[in-house]
Amino acid sequence: MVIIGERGLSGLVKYTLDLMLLLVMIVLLTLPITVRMYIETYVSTVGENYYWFLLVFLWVSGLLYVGIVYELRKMFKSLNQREPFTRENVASFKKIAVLALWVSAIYAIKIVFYISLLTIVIGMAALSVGLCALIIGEVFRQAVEVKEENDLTI
Amino acid sequence: MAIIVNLDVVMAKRKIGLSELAVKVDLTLANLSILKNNKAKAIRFSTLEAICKALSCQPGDILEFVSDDEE
Repeated sequence: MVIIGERGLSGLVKYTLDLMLLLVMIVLLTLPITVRMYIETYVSTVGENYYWFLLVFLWVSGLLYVGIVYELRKMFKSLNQREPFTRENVASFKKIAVLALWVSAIYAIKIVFYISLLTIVIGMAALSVGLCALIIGEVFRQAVEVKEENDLTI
Repeated sequence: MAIIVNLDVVMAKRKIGLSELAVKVDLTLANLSILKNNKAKAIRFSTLEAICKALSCQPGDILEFVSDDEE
């Protein structure tokens, strides 16, 4: 199987990201209803405060997630054109890192107010994604420099 | 840059065009333009050899050193 290319694995991942973006939009738009349903079904003891907290919390982290998926999509587009080592992709990695670190910060806030195991797990995952993106972005920056040097060696 | 590529001078002397030279030394036109316009960061020995062979000249005819303070 071809790994990189429009018809390869990276092309498939790009379409998956498109689908994800669409699904996240739908989830974000229907969030007031679904959060209400969730609270009425599973949580009966907590009051109206929890509804609004959960709504805002999921909305903000969802928006940040949209940003991450959008940047990933951009990177996969350039990867499909076989031009991954560009300064734009270095910037994309930095943006992903910042967004993921914000997600983990928001999850940390939720841990303070309403602690749950899943929140800790997702928060830790976001934290590691952010740190990894920061490091891979720096590696990419060095790769871009090497590629420029190589391209200008005739 | 202290090293100047004088490819256009030698090419004019030999009365050879850029695209013709590109075919002779087996380079793309884009890469040869980069070299001719002094945009290149380095040149491979194999490329230099091919250009010298195609233009029947010495590396010194193509490359020139100019000290930075003189500029």
